[in-house]
Amino acid sequence: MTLLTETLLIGWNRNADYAAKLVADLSDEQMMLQPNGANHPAWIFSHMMVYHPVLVAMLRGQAFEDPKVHKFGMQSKPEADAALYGSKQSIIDAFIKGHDDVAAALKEAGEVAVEKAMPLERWKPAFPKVGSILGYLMLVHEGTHLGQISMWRRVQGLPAV
Amino acid sequence: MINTLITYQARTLDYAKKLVADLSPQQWCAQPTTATGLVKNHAAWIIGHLVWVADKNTIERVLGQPSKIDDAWKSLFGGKSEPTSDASQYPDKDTLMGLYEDAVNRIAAALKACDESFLERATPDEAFRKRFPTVGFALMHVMAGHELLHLGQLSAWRRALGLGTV
Repeated sequence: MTLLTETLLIGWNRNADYAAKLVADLSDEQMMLQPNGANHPAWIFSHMMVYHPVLVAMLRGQAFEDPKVHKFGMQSKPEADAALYGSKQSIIDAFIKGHDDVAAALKEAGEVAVEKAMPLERWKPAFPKVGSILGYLMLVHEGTHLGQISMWRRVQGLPAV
Repeated sequence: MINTLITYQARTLDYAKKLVADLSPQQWCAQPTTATGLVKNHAAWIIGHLVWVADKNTIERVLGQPSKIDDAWKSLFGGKSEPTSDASQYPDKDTLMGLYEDAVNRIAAALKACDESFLERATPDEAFRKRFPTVGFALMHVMAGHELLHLGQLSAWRRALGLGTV
């Protein structure tokens, strides 16, 4: 593994652990709460998971749809219908599996995969190579949303994790 | 990887600027009360904490460059500090955002002077090295992970104050 791969995997695995802790004490009902219209955890997790298959596809050189148009993509908003998201356990299971899939793809991918040109036109200006977006999607993007859940917990009167 | 880290942190700074752009001096240290209690981590503490970590951890402990921040700020912005509602304790928005941008620029300048092998060096600070064995690990954590967790908190804090999305 390269330094980039090893570094990303450390942060990625920490994100998975932190994510599980952030919702460990939540009920299915709490996963749907939106104080002051804040993003609820069910949407945040569903949104983060949009990018897992995208990361796997990029690392394996496979085609993928622009995640912008996904039903939980960046243009979506949290909905009150819990059936859209599933139970907390099913969400967490899917999130952990997505994390494992990305980790496996990253371990398999060599330098060639990381050096490949960004296949999604929209991302090219900011992230010209596959390798340049990995840390952004795996750490920056997930970190932002996990931070939202952290503060969402405080708003609910729940303790820090 | 160095250029990638610099790019990430520049985008993070832009995001932080947007998150605080419309905050009034009264909102800067606001701890909104919810049905279940008080939300303690306010914008002044979060940005001040990011300044503290960028200066003391990234610049001083990882990059080995001189710090510009007063050590006395540890009690205000260090890892175990507790945000308070006393706004007189906290520097204003322009001061803290200026220090944050300055720290980001110093980190970028220091990194641009290094080659990629620098990232493979052992993290110089012993305590930090236990968690992050190499400079690359440490920088990825502080520049791409830690900062965004707190800015995500700031994003949700805005909602608790009734402010819009950014």
